[in-house]
Amino acid sequence: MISLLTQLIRGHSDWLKTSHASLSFIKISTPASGVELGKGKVLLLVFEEGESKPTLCVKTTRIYSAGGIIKKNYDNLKLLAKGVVGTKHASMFAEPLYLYDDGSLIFCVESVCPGARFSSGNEDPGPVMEAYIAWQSHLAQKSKEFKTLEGGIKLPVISQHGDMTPDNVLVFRDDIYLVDYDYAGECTLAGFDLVNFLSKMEISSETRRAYYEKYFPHYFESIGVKVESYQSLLPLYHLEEVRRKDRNM
Amino acid sequence: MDGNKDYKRTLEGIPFFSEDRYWGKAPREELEKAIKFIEENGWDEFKVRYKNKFDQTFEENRADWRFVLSLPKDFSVLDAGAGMGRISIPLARVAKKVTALDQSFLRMKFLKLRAQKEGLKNIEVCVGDIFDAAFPSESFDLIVMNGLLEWVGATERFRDPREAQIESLRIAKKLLKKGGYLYIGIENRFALSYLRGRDHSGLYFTSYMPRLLANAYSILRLGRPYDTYTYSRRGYDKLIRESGFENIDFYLPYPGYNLPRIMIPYNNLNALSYLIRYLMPSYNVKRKIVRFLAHSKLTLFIYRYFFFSFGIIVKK
Repeated sequence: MISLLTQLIRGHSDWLKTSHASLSFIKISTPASGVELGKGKVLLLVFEEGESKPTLCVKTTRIYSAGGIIKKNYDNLKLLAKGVVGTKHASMFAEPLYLYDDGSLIFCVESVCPGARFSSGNEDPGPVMEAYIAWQSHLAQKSKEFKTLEGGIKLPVISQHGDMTPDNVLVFRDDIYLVDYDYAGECTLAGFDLVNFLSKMEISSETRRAYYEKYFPHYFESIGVKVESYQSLLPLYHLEEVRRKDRNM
Repeated sequence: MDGNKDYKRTLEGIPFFSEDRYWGKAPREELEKAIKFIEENGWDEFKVRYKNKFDQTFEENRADWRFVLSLPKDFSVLDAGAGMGRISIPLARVAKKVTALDQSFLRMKFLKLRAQKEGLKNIEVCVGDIFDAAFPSESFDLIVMNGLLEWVGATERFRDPREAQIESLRIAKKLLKKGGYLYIGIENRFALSYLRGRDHSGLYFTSYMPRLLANAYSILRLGRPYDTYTYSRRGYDKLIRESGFENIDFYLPYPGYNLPRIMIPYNNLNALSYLIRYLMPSYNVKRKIVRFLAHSKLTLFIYRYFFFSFGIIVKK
């Protein structure tokens, strides 16, 4: 795979910082990846000689029959990228560059989101929430579709990342990146990511409630809706997560 | 064995190139019992009853180092020292054919059963060591020696363990097709973990000792010579070159060669720094200190010398 990949990258010199730099690869299998057959992705981070950060991220699977997840990831990312093209929010996501599928091997090439994983126990979620809310506000302005929920709450239909756990949020200085696009765009329930992120932080229930109190009103205001209490929405967010898990079993 | 009649005998359909020699973390009787249990009760019951009992796994990630190779589509593999199939099984899902070779009949019997369970008809198992296995020259695209090279010296047919290791590598070279790969997963002689744990010899600090001293110490303590040589990166490089290979790349497998979740190119300190600073969670003070130290190239340069193990990719 490496020689094929190298050949492909050489043919797209605009993907690199230096077109003729020698390349090396870090292979990463995430801890949960490979525990079961057909589950999980294998990543290759492409380093150019002398660069302190990787330039490209390649995602593939162990067996071709599991490659649907790569295509889905790539298509979802393209959809996300389309929604933010030309805006400051575009930098929150990787750039989809290429999907390779020859019937026996599948992989996609993306730009790299550099940064360290958000530390879910002791890091201030403020910058993540601000970036997320600004992105959602941008999408809400473009959205013409609304969904009326139980209790008469009307929310704009806005794409969610779908798996915005602290593990999928990278932080580099002041920049926030969302990675892993397996579910991106599948869920359009406004605020789903906000709950998903805060509920998976390793914090006390008091702190979590305080964050909900702080960020929900700000979120709803930013997407232009009036919601009396976020609490009535929590069961819906929970139900959405259950549905998402069922869909992907 | 595709018409290969160089084996001595067969037992339960498994050919023998040399005599059965059991090894493993559990006693032979326990594996015998487990195999009988599988035959009578099936794999689901086995998974529950024998969880973590043997050095086998149902996970599919043990051969993930293959992603840094460039193998042809229909590649053939020799998994030398295949054990219970941690590597043979995932490779067989993508290879044309996997030949699993191990000195232990019971382990090969287990692997044969496991292959049947997985519906993998492209795995052949045989009993033997690398010195006796008579495969045709240039018949494999990939040869795997994962956790094997350190043990091949435990034989009396060579003057010293190093000679045995070089001979095993020469055999691998002979069996590889031109452009084929040898993958070696093995410990670093100077791994930090050997300062607090036992070496392959079963004794403390022997890998750090000069060979003569380790040998004398082993004879004194165990009544047998020290024959499980490991090396530094430079030592492996020299050893592999002496066996006739020239194209050698080193990787640092993390957390270790038996579970290569991450493969870091040895020569790229930037990649190692990136991995430690950005990809490893820093949930405790020790990790935070490591992350801080990873800012220094000098620290990383030194740290590589004490990394636990190597993934060595050798191209013919």
